[in-house]
Amino acid sequence: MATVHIDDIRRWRSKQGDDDALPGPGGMFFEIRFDSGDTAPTNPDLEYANQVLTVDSPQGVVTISFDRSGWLKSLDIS
Amino acid sequence: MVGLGQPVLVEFAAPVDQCCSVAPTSALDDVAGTANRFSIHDRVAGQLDEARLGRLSGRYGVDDLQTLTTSPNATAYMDLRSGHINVIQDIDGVLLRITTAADEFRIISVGRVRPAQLTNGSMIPIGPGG
Repeated sequence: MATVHIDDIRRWRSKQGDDDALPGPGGMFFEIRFDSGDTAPTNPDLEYANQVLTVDSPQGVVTISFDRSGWLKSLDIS
Repeated sequence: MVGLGQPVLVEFAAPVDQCCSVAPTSALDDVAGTANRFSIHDRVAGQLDEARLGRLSGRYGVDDLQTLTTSPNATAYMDLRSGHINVIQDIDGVLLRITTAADEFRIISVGRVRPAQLTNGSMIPIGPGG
């Protein structure tokens, strides 16, 4: 089983030079993208088409976005 | 996109209404001396056109954020987790969130919040927008 915590990913990205991966000067914004430009939807889930969920987490407000086919597009913490 | 001076329905949800008054002005009424007060991260322009803003998607441009952020109809909340200042206002039933850095006049993202997210103890009202 492969498991990683969001805090570990954010620290890793911060070390890679993404200054806004962690709270600090200039503000924090961390986004995980799931969309891929070379993958066409073959099984659209229209129940979630263009839906957006906003939920809380210990790190801040999380915005979960789905694309027009209902596929998970991204989640971001800000 | 709404032009300046075009009426916009602005109403607070109940939790916001309890902490400040609602001025009968447009969401885009300018506030003297606040033009271009905030720098805006490049990502924000794209966010304004995304489905994340619901019916507000495509309505505003980055320049409009200067007036929305300083609108007397908005309330600023400090997010205790991130330290960000979130400027919140209800526009056409959408609780618009404009997130700014705590240590500089910089807009880092826009999105929405649900009313319950303003009353669960994570965000503390600190005053009017701007």
